[in-house]
Amino acid sequence: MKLFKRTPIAWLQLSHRPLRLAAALAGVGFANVLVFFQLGLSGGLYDSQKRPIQQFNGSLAVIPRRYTNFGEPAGFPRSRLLQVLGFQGVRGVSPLRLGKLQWLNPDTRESTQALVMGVDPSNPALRLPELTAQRSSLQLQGGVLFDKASKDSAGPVRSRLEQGQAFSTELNGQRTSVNGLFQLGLTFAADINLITSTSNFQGLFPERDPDEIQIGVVQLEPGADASDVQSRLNQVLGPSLQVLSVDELQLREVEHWKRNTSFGLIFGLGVLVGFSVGGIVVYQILFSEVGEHISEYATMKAMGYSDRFVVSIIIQESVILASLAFLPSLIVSALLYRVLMQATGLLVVMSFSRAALVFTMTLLLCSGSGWLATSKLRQLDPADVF
Amino acid sequence: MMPESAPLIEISNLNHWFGDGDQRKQVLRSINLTVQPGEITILLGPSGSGKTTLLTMVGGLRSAQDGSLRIFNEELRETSTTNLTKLRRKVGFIFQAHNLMPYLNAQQNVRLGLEVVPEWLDRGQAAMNERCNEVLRQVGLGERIEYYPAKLSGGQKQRVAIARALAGSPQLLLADEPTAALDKESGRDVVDLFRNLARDNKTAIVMVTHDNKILDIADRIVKLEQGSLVE
Repeated sequence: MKLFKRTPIAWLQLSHRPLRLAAALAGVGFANVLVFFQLGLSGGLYDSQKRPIQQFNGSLAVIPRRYTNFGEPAGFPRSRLLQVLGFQGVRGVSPLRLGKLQWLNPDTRESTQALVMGVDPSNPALRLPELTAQRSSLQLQGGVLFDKASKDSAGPVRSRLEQGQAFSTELNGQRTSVNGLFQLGLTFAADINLITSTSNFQGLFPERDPDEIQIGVVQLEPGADASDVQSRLNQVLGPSLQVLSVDELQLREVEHWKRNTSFGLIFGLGVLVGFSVGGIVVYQILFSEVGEHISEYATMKAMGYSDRFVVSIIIQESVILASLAFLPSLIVSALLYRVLMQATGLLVVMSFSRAALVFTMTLLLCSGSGWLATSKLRQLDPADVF
Repeated sequence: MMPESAPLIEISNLNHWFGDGDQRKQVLRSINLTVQPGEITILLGPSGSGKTTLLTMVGGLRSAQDGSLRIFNEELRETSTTNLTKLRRKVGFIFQAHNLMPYLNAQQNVRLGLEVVPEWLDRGQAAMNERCNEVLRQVGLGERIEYYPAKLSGGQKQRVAIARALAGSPQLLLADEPTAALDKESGRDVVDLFRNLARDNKTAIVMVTHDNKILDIADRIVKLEQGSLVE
């Protein structure tokens, strides 16, 4: 390998001025963190929409054809879901009722929209541990469980309950007490999440047909082939219903919000700004590096080093900058994500694909900047050293 | 390989111009010069007489426009830049300004002169380092091998640059005022090195100098005046 026999010119040149190297790394690292921040927030906004569906107690979901998103689902008769029972590979079904109501903050008299999820206490459609632990509170007449992640505009529900005090309010004009807490996380659908039993749900939505449900969660027998059951169910249930895997339903939810919100564009611009900052920093550093050493590069050319070799030194430097800056910025970003998640309640997590994307983009951008910075080098006439 | 008797540099009727159109100015006029292996030629002449231009052309830093210029038996007129780059690897250059890489120590700077020669690169780091140290000792810098240029005096830097040019034992050495930055004693040492190289390695040396103290090593002294050679 000729590579390892050679003097590592690029590295020696960069490390010869440690302060400048540190400044360059800080600049590129800062740009990376900026990009991660934007991607984290936009990804978090979208990923958070998956959370209720992630908690489905089953692997398939039956939804009406007209389904748009979790917050605005159309209904279908429960009897259609029961049709699925006894089907080969199906172990059970859990109906989920969904609806929105105005929640009244008793202190401020202001109302906030709440998403109410109605579950069967003996067979809940959601896998939340709090539902099993608080089954008796769930069954209490005229009560709901309250999501700890709900907005503060709901009132001091969480603190009161955690202190062992009662909290009651008006929901749809009906006296309702909060009998317990759970942790799910907000979506764009509403600022408050509530879970209640089927019979309480019917009490809160008296105008609805008691047989109407919004989503049917299907549990499979161990060892059953989910996609096989899914396609057979789709055939049997006909065109008014559709059967999706829980993963597909999550993707569909994210797609819905991507289509109907402009966060992607807003944060995409932020990402662009971040990458530009990184590119400009690298360009500036390498451009001045080339300018300061121009006669030495001319000397190298005069000695018989090719244009390609001399340009590759600068490209190597840009790759070194991109690579060295990446790991620290990844660590800082991961910490930043934890802070963001705590502060916003959004699902902000570092994924391998996001890290790989940012690294690849940084690498490409830095080498591009490096290439631009070498324009002087490529035109350099070695005869000028004399 | 070249036959022993073939000249290393053959210049016949070489003309060269700078600029275009009305600005065009002739800098070399009908130059004829032949240099044999092992021969030391000193090039004299006032500044602006075309010495440096001639030196850069012989070293393959500029391609020839008119006439014929052959080094190592290859015609340099209208040759490709790739070929020029390759030819330069066989030439040792000593520039007026030392042009050392400030981020490389003396040994690494000299090694740059070796790494450009594929045969040396193939021999590996240890062999290259050994050769670098040997040449640095020859120019009197055996104690300064790991010094960076910033820690070396002007004369010492110039000697590192000389070591860089000599390390690959080139068949052709071109030097522009190599002793200008050196004191009397180290100037003499360098001149002795040149003489040994010409004698033992059959290196052809072309040197531009104003230093009267070293004219005695020349086998031949040629003068350039307004672009023409006057012997």
